Amino acid sequence: MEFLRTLFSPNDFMPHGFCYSWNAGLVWLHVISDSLIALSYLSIPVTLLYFIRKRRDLPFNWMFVAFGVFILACGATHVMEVWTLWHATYWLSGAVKGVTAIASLTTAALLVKLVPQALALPSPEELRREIGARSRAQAELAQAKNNLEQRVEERTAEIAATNQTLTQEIRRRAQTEDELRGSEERFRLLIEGVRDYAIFSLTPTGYITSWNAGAEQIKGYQAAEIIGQHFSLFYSQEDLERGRPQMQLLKAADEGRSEDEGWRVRKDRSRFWANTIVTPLRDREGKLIGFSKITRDLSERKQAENAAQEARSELARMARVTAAGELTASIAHEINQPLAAIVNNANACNRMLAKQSPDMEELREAIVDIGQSATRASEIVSHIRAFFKTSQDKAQIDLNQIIHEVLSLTVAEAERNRVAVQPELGSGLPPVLGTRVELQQVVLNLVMNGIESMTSVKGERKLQISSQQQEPGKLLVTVQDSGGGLDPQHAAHIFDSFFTTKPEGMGMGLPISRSIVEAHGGQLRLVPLPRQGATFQFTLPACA
Amino acid sequence: MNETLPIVFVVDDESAVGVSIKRLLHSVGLEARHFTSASEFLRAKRPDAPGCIVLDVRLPDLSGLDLQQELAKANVDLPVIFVTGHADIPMTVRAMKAGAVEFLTKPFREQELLEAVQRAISRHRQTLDRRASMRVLQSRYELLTPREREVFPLVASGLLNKQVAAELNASEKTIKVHRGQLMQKMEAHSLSDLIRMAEQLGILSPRS
Repeated sequence: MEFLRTLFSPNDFMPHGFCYSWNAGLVWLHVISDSLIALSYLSIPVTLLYFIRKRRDLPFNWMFVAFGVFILACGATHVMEVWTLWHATYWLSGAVKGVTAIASLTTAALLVKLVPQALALPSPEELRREIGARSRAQAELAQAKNNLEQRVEERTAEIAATNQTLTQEIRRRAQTEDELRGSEERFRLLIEGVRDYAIFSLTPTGYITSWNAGAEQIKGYQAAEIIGQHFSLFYSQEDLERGRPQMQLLKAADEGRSEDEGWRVRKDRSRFWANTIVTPLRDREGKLIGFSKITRDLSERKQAENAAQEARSELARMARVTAAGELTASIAHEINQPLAAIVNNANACNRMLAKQSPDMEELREAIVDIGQSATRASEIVSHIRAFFKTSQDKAQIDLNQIIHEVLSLTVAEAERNRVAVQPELGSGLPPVLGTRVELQQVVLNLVMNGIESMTSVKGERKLQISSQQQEPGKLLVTVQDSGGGLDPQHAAHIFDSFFTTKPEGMGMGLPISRSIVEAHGGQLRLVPLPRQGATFQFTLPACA
Repeated sequence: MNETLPIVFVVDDESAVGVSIKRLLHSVGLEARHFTSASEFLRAKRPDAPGCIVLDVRLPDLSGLDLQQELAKANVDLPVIFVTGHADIPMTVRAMKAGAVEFLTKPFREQELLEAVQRAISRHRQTLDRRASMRVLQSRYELLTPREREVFPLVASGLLNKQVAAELNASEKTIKVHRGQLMQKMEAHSLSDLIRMAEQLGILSPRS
């Protein structure tokens, strides 16, 4: 308390006005100046306070506080200057100055410390530039943001579209997958349902992995008992020994397909003639994952082929019989001639002998005639028998002899139709290897056709038949008539079965003849000659 | 009746058959000749005697059927007997239509041939007889005057002399004379004789 009393009491000092001798002007100058300074100093912290309250973001606001305190202290010293003019409380005044000094020092020290940091603060120019840059950046940013938004919108639209497409795609795929599954199912059912073909699949080493109804049907195994077995089960012992099953797989793998025909064995060990096709199955990388195998039972076809062969020879035989039928009239005529002569002569002899004095010379002549006619009749019979004997054996045959036989058989037919037959047979021809009856048939057909083609010819009726060696080892027979020839339209079809220009023809003669000649390794053709008549030629290989 | 000995012509290209037929006919006392073709037969001189042809249907130059037609065209009236080694129906029909006596298939029984030959010969004999009497009538007819030839059909149609006279604008007396001449020249013994002759000559008046 003593200190406070000392502080606020004037003690023994004189007011400061005494120093100015109470010069009113001087006193008031100090009073006004100090008062104004004090007021100004006082106003600054207020302003600062206001400023820092408004700008809380500013750095170093503690500096403003320090500065405010320092200014306030300075203002207080000036108030004390006015006070001490009249009141000599110099302790108080000195204390105020002391406080001010502390605040000033602190502020000055802080300020020195603050300089590097304050220097680091951007200058207004820098700030402007930065602000400019920033506002440009901001503008750009805004622009960019705009762009971005647009792009985002676009992308969003795109994504939406893509999404939609994807959705559709997914739906479509699902549908496709369904369809595929359905199709696969149908395909599987189809394959399983195929009955005429055995369709099954194999592992790369030949073990069975699938089995359809056709396979059951053809091979006799049920799917359950055969799946997992090796497919060599279907091969015969001989084929197994020759490694045929493996060979077929190897060939298929190498060449992409292998086809085979041969005997296969059913479950009941019976055999059937099969056609098999093996195809390799590969994955996307081309790795072999197995084989598919299709087997057809060709037994029926094989039988049909055999039957066709038989039918062909039967047809050839029938054609021969038909030709014989056509010849019946002339054969009957020919054979009845000597028979008639025999009967007449015998009857004449009988009557002559009944007379009292028979003419013995006449009787002898009649009996000689009977003998000759009988011989003639038996010759004709043996010709016919030689012609129609059914031996199918192949033998070395003299082609000229065949032609002679046919001509002797058709001589009556030729005479009846007033056809002059002109044979020009080459001599010393080598024999051919063939079936006599078949070759006779060919020549007979050509000769009969030639004769028949001339029945309505008014002029010369001539049938030329020649044989020659065309080149070493090849015989050529030519039959040429002087008939009207063939209509070019017909010429193209004369070798077709059942094609005929004759009202009662069967249309089999030429096709059969051609097949016979071809079976003998030769060729039969119509030679296009620009004159009248038709010319047929056939070749046959001679015996080596 | 024509009493000339008959003759048979055998046309067959097969000598053995032709000779055997000829021999068979000889054995029954028939004259026979053998030809091996139609043309040979056509060229040959044939005596005017009753007879027939034994013809093979098939001949090298001209078929028997064609020869049959040729003979008809040439007014050769020899009856034809066909023989054939092999007959078919159309051939037979054609031959019979053309007037064949018989159609025999070889070998035939002798009786068939001999009967056919006898039938053919007698048919030909009748034809020849008819032709001979016709020739006699025609020669008599040729002796008639034109007036008598006018009177002939009228009388033959049964008209009285008076009617004939009216028809021809002549007197009954004249007609009576013509009629007498007619009967005499034609060697008619009665009116019915004359009528038959008119028929044969084909001169009967169309009015009757």
